[in-house]
Amino acid sequence: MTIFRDISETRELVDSFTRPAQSLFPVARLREDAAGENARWANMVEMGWLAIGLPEGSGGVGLTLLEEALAAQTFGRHLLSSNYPATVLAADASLRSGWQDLAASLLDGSRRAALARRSADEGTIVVFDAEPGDVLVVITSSGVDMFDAAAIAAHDSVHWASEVSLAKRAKPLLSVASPDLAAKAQLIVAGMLAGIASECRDRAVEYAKVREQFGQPIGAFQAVKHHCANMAITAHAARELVSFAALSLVEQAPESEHLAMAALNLALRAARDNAGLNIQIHGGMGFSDECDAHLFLKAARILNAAVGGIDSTRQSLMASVQ
Amino acid sequence: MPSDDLAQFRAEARSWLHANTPAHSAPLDGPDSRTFVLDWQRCMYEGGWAGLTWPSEYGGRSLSVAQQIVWFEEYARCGAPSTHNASFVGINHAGPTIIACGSVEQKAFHLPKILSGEVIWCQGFSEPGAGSDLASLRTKGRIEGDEIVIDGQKIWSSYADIGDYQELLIRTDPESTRHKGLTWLICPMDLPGITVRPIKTMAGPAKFCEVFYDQVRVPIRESVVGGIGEGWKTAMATLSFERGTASLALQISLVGKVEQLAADCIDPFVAPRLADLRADAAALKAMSYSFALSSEHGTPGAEGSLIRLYFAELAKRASDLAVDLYGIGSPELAGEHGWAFEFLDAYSETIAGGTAEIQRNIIGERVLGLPRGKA
Repeated sequence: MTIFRDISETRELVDSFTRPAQSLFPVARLREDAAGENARWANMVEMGWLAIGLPEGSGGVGLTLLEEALAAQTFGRHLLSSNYPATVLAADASLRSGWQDLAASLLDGSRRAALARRSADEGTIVVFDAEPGDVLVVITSSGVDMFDAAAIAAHDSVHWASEVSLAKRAKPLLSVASPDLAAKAQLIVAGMLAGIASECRDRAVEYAKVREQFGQPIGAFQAVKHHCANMAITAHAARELVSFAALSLVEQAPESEHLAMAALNLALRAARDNAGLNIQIHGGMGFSDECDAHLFLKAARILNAAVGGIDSTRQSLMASVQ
Repeated sequence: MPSDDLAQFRAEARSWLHANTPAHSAPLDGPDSRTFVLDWQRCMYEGGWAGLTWPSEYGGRSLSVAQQIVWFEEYARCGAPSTHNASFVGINHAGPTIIACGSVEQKAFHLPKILSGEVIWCQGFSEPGAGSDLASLRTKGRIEGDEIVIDGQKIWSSYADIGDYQELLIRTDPESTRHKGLTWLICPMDLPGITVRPIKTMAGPAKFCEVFYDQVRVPIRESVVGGIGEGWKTAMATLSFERGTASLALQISLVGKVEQLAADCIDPFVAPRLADLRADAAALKAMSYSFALSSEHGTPGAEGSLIRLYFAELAKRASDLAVDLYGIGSPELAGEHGWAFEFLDAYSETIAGGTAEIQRNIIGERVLGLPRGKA
């Protein structure tokens, strides 16, 4: 096969595979029933969404990173928590390290993983969306490190971070250095961010069609219309680059690792920009807690922090040509 | 097609381009640019590298979009002459429009001449009073028996001074307004009554022109493409093509230039901007490949207008950054195809073919379905 192929059919397949997310994970759940998020985790297991890219022999669906990156876009639209990429990566890293038991417990839903980021001095670790018992997953530039989270206290917000102490120079539970696992981590996160950018575009456009001021829908005004056009361009760029990078990795194209990092950089900016514009287009309503617009901004910031920020992607992108 | 065949095709393209790419860079305007462009087009035609995706019945090779992409990748890598030259309208506008809407005779007469590098085409769409608002054009065509008599003026017609034919959009129904009553014509540029005045651009070359028509007579049968009064529809076939695959070569070339900037970058202050630019260039590539590949077996999707605008703004940012990176006075900026020229010329990208503002309206209304503003 080649990277020069039309992936429309793959897109359709993944769309139908992930369509139940509409009813299982409506965004409104996050306002109405934040505590219920854990109860919904079983759905992830049941639908096979945690193991899309793992081989069937290991309890996976047996598809590739392309399907996985496309699915992540749907999950981003529905604001699945960062436990989703964390658990997918933890299961993959466990299998690569021969920890079949740990992988099995992650895939059957009896354990979950949470994303985390170590401080520069390695003295503390910031964890995201973590619950007691979660395995902590740190995405590094070369792969994935995993830590035991026995010491992590429960925290009260589904979409915010907490900082916890970690023993100085704590050794990871396991550490997998692998360029393709690093790229998988980048692309699943980038996929979620691209999904956030698309969903923000759709919500802003929908609102601009119905909200009236000065006797007409605000979307008729060029200032608003042009914001929407920019959001459409941004979301399309993110969607296509994530997909192309994933296809390149699957086909082992020479520049695939660069494309994965480029996709993460672009998707971080796309989610940030579109989340901000969605709030702006919703006006006063957009600034209120009861409007969902802020949830996309916060989710985008969490993912941004969990991968080390846009600036770290810039460093990697420039390092790759030196 | 299997990747082995594509790799074989790439090797053939690379080796042919290596052996045949002109040693001298292309002159930017005037008779020298005509000679250069026609020679290069003829060279590609004779080597079997012209009209790769044109149907074989019209002299093309009926190759796949994947092969077309590979050809353009190698074309850019080898530093072959920019496709943004005097052959662009013939190869990318007039030719495809005649393939889509022309008569059997028109196809047989014009298409081989375009592909083999015998003729230069120019475009006569914009007028002093009809720029982004193309449908307000007023150049008249009076029907007299089997002829149309043209009076009026066109502007921003690139290479009209060295062109053999013009794709010309005029108003043939004097009672009509806006998109109705227009006709798309093939107009030979050597007819009595045509006056061409080149206009120098801010980037230097005198490549675009004003064209004046004083009782210019063209035969209906040979000239009209797509039917009298159907000109808007015919022109849209051209323009939607322009916003889609016609720009593939330019898009691929821009991605290559951004990668060159990254390779040359030793300035830590510019590096973060360049990192974002590299990612944006990768996205341009992803979008344009996906668009071209998905258009292969159907009509191009609406996202062509998004990609066109994304390209235009990226081209401006890339050349702006290049000027910062290399610095004024550096050899990289000098010369006919240096970054200083690219920097200035890029300002046309967000104007030509409908300004960025009009493009955003089009995206808002036709792609996103937002309402039109009250006039």
